[in-house]
Formats: sequence, C-alpha cells, structure tokens
Amino acid sequence: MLVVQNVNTYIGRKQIITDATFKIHPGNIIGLIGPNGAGKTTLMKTILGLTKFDGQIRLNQTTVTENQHTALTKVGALIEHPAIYPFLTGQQNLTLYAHDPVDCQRLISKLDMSTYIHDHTKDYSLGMKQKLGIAIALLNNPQLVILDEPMNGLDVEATIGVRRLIHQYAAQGTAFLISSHILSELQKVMTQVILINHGRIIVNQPIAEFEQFHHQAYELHTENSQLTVKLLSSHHIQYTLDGDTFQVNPKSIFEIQDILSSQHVRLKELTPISSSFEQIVVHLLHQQRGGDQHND
Amino acid sequence: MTSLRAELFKFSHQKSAQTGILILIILMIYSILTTKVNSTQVIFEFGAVQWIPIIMIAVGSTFFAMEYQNRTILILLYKSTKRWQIYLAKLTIVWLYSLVLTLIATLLTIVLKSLLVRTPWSALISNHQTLLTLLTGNVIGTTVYALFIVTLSFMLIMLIKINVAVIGIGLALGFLGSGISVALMETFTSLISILRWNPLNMIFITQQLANPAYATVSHLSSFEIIGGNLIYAAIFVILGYGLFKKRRI
Repeated sequence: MLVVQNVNTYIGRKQIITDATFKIHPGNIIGLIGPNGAGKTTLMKTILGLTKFDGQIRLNQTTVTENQHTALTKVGALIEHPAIYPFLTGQQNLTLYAHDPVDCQRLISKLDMSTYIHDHTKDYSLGMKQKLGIAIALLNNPQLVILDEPMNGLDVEATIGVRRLIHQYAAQGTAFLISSHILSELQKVMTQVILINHGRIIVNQPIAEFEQFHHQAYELHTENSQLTVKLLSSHHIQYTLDGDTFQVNPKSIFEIQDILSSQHVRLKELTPISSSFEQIVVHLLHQQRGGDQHND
Repeated sequence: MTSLRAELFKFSHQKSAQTGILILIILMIYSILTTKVNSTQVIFEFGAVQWIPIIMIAVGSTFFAMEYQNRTILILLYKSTKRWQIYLAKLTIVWLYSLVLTLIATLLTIVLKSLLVRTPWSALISNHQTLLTLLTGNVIGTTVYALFIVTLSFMLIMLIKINVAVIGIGLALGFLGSGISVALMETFTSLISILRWNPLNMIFITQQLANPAYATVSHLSSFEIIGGNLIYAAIFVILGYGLFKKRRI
C-alpha cells in the first residue's frame, strides 16, 4: 500500500533523512522508534508531502510529492500536537473534516468524548485534546493513519481505549505508522518495528523476529570457571565475568561449547538472558553509535 | 467541506470577526462624541474610512497566523490537493469581511446622519458633488483599498510571521502612511513621477474617489490610483503566495 523508496529529506540544506526504504501493507501497525532528533517526525511529514525530498513515495501506486497530494485523501494524521481550532467545539472541529456524520458520532462515542464534545476546545485538558486529535486522524475510514506520540497526556483508560481502537481499525485493513517514546505501550500494538537513528533506518523487522534476533547475551556456568577463563581468553572469545557467571555473545555459543567439550569442561548452565524491548533498543542504538565512532 | 466553506465556517466562529465589527461601531460613535458632527463626518463615514483598513490588517493577519499557532496548517496542507486554493479561499473570505464592515459602516452612517446632520443627501458639498455622491465615492475607495490592505496583511504575515508586528505595521500605515508619502514627494519633487507610485500613496484612494481634488496631493488620477491599488494587490498576492509555499512547518 505505502512504498517509501530511497527517500532523502532535506530541511534547508541539512539532510535529515537518509535513504529511507520500507513498505507498509494494509493492517500493519508499524512502530517508528528512535531517540530525540532521529528524524521520526520528519519522516512522517515527508510521507504527508510536507517537506522537500528526493526518492519515491507511493500510496496505492499513486506518487506523493511536495506538490502532489491526491493520494493522501485517505490518510489520517496526528503530528506533534493535536491540530485543533480552540474557538470551535470538538464537534465543529470534527465536522470540518468529516464526510459522514455517522462515522463521526461513532468515533465520538468510541473515544468516550460525548460529555464534552460540544464544549469549546480551548477549555479541553491535554488528554481531551489528544483524543480529539486522534479522532480527526481516524475520520472517514482512512487506509493509512500516521500518529506521532498518540498516547501523550492520555490516562490509563484512554490509553487502553485508543489501543483497542487501533486494533479494531487495523483488523479492518487500516495501516498505522506510530511513533512513541513509551516503548512498552508501542510494544502492545505494533506488528513491525522500524528503528531510526541519525535519519537512517537501522532496523525494519516484524516484532517477533526482532525480539528473537536481538537477544543480546547468554549466561554461562561451568564446573571449572578458572579453566573456562583460560580457554575463552586463549581462543579470543569475548566475555564478562560476574562471580562464577559468564556472559557471552550469542554468536559464540556453539564455538564455546565445542572448546569446553574438547577440554572436558562440563556445562552447568547456558541460557539466553531475556532482554526487555527497551534494553534491546538501547543496545542497538549503543551499538550503532559505537559503529559510527569506529567509522569516523 | 470545500476550502471556501471551511474558511467561512472558521472565520465566522472566530472572536476577531465579531470584535472587528464591535470596534468599528465604537470608533464611529467615538468620532461623533469627540469631533464636530457635520457633512464631512458623513462623507468619511464617521471615521470608518480610516478605521476599516486598520481593522482589516489586524483581522487578516490573525486569521492566517492562527493556523500556524494551532498547528492546523499541517492538516490543511497535507489534505489539500492545490495549495493556492487555501491562500485564495482565506483571501476571499477576509475581503468579503471588509465588504461587510463597509456595509455596516454605511448603514450606520445613514442612520446617524438622519439623526444628527440636517444637510440633505442632494446638497452640493464640493466640486458640484452631492453628499450622496461623495459618500458613494468613499465607499468604493474603501472597498478597493481593503483589497490592497488584505493582500498586504497576508504577505506581511508570511514574511514577518509575528502577528503583533503586522498589526503594528498596519497602524503605522493607517496613521502615518499618507503623511510620509506626501513628505517624500515634497522633499524630492524631481522624483514625483516615480514616487507617486509608492505603496504608501495608495491610501489616498479612500478620499480621492469622493474628492478628485486630492489628485493634487496624490499626483495620481482616479483611474491611476485604482489601477495602482489593484496592481499592488496582485503583486502582494504573488509574493505572499510564494512565501506561503516556501514556509516551513
């Protein structure tokens, strides 16, 4: 549905996004993650044809450029802050964009906004504004929805409600591109992860594959720690040692088993250390920074 | 909603639209209370001819600036297939608002004149023109000058991006513009043929159409001053739209 191919985005003369390539299919929920200033919002704005870029963006085979927005009629978006007029009521803000009053009312009740929808939005709390911004993005049954930090200011109930709504829309074929700093929340909805750093996409994988592939280390216990130290060192295998517990790289585990077995050192334990999603992301970013420094 | 309907919907719900009307009425009443009421006051719609351009520059720039303040420009831009439609729709609505202001000022003038000024509409006032003809000339002048002012306010808000600064420029134009223009032409008499086309000189349209004798001050004929206003409006639209297209969000 959405194809982003070799996209480079510039703001002024500065390049913000470098060679971004990915696809989004109907029903996908893509989590776009990365540190502050990584280029997440710029990438979202680029897809919406709001920045200068080269490369290709196609939505349902129709090209999107800075001046060509025809394909974006079925796209909903909430970027940075909810875009709402404070002098209008919530209902009037929705009416400005709604094609179907029934769809509009359904969203109001699903997001539990009925009690205040006829009030002027200048009196709304941050969470109420955020829900209205999400409702605007979900109006008119969009094919693609771009949400930048959608859970900002939402209380627990609202967060659960929005999560449920995202799942419902995705089940009907709507694709989502969502950025959030609350990784645990994103983890609950996304089916695929795109990790971006310094304007470059460094990971683009289905979430299950991502978690499986990026287990960081294994824990190792042997019956003879001293000999194990000697053997690992002599074979130039990297490890850390805490008491009698070794931590080793997953890539080395088969080699380690062969070495220890040849010297009749028996294993007491060899288990993957389960890392949280957050830890994996931090580790990958750290790894890339190291790589960047090395390349420099 | 189409661009024009959506802009009308937003504009009519903004406080500045209603405040503008209220301020105009208050200023016209202020004029009655502080200045001698006579036929000249009627011709100039109790000061409305001067106040309308100032109100317009404030309302016009506020109407565009609020889209950037509320970040709604983002949705407006990505959902629009033609960017110029946004600019022209806003311009049309604000100019129509100037017609509403002019209409209100004219109606109020007619009411106030019937209550306070005994001079009949058919009375010859100056250059063998009746009170009614002079008032009509001023109303047409104000309408054309409003186009100049609205297009200028849109261009300025794209250029300066700070609403208060644009309103300040509007006030300066309204109070000092014509004085500066006359001073320039009096100082550099040899350059009058060029200086008479300066944008500050265009404000004389609000008086000259009613009183052609003002041509000796503006150094432009009525036909030239109408043309000048329209050409400046076209230049401001082209420059303003160019800035709008390039403005980063």
